[in-house]
Amino acid sequence: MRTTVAERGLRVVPGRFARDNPPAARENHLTSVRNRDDFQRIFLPHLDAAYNLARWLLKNDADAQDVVQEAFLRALRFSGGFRGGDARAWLLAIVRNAAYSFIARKHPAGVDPNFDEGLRPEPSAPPDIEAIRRADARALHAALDQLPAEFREMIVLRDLEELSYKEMAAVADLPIGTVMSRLARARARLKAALGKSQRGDAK
Amino acid sequence: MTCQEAARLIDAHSDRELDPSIDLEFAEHLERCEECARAMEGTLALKAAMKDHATYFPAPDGLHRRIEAAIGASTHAVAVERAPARRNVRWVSAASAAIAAILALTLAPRIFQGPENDFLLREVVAAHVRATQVDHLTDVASSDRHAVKPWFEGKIDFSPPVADFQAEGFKLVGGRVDYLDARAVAALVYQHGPHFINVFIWPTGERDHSPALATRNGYNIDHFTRGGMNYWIVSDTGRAEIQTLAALMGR
Repeated sequence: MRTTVAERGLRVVPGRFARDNPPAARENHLTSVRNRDDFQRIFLPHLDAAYNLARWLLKNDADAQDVVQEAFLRALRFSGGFRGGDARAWLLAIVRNAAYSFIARKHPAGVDPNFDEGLRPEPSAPPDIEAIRRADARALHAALDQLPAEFREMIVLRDLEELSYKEMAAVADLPIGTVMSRLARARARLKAALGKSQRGDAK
Repeated sequence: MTCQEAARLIDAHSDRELDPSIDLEFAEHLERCEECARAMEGTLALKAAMKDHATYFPAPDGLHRRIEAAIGASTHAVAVERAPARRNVRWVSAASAAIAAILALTLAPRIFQGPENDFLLREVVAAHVRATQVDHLTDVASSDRHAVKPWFEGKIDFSPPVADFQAEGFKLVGGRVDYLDARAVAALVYQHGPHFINVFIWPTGERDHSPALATRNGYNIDHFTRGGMNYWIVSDTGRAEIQTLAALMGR
């Protein structure tokens, strides 16, 4: 099988996880869940990460809280299968699935079963760098909310949660090459949207 | 390295995810290529904007407690535990403490037996309120039980009994899958006058029993177990109506 430069070039260094993880996770030496105390000790430190992802995917607080609670109960059920490793990525994968089931339940029409970032080419015009630099919180949030959830989550996981590509691949259940291209496309759309919104404001 | 190749590496480079040899090649290309350098600048500007302006939403106050209570009250044992979880004294006491705190706050009388049921009672009411508030009562809207029953196939791992009681004043309006007691459950929706009634059904290993009716936050709730199925009926309609529907369902 041929690999592209991009795939060959990706660095997968296990060592970086220890550095990337928040202190709460690093100090956690538990590697398996024997009971509810273990479960809480391993996974509750990642509650903020879980909520932040759900909040960005669902765009409102009440739904995000419900989904995070549901995800923790699912995680509890499956925690016997947790064999140590990256507890945050393990939990976020469950939060993500719970969020998408919730969206499918609540807005059956809002889910695009044919989501495929490869179908439409991304804007290739040079970015409007000044517009991006001028963007404030309101403009940035509006542009993020317009992205399909599958793109938005890439940016949230990378730029807010600061996950490595390898962790993102585990959370979203994607090959690492797809994480890289999807994140790049997500950012390309976001840049284009910020450029557009600034031009719209000026008129 | 061509521009086309370089363009695909811009984000990975900005995220320090490229392996050093490729990264060097990429950096050399950037020095020679104004267009790619500009694209790189755009990505860096975007990352800076994310860092400065994008909100990281921390979990709101109360969610931590809510989840701890839910974990304590969940009837599901951690899969690797040998003994049934309810024999684990440590979490039983944690769960009791959580329940006691909830009770102290709400001052609601406990009507059903057992801490799981008390938690479930709240869950059932919350599920009913959620479904009526967001106007999402049904995923399959039909008064034909032959349409509603097969709809559940493949969505849940059991087949709930579905019946229409229109002649008795309880019109079946549809069904949906909900999530209670840490599992997917069937929700049947009936209409009685202006009131909607949710009936949650899921399998149980418990024997038949019929605890008393309960009232919580203005909602009437009935619960019973028949033929290996848990039934929870909740609505803002009167107690008598709920009892009638429960009787029709085999209480």
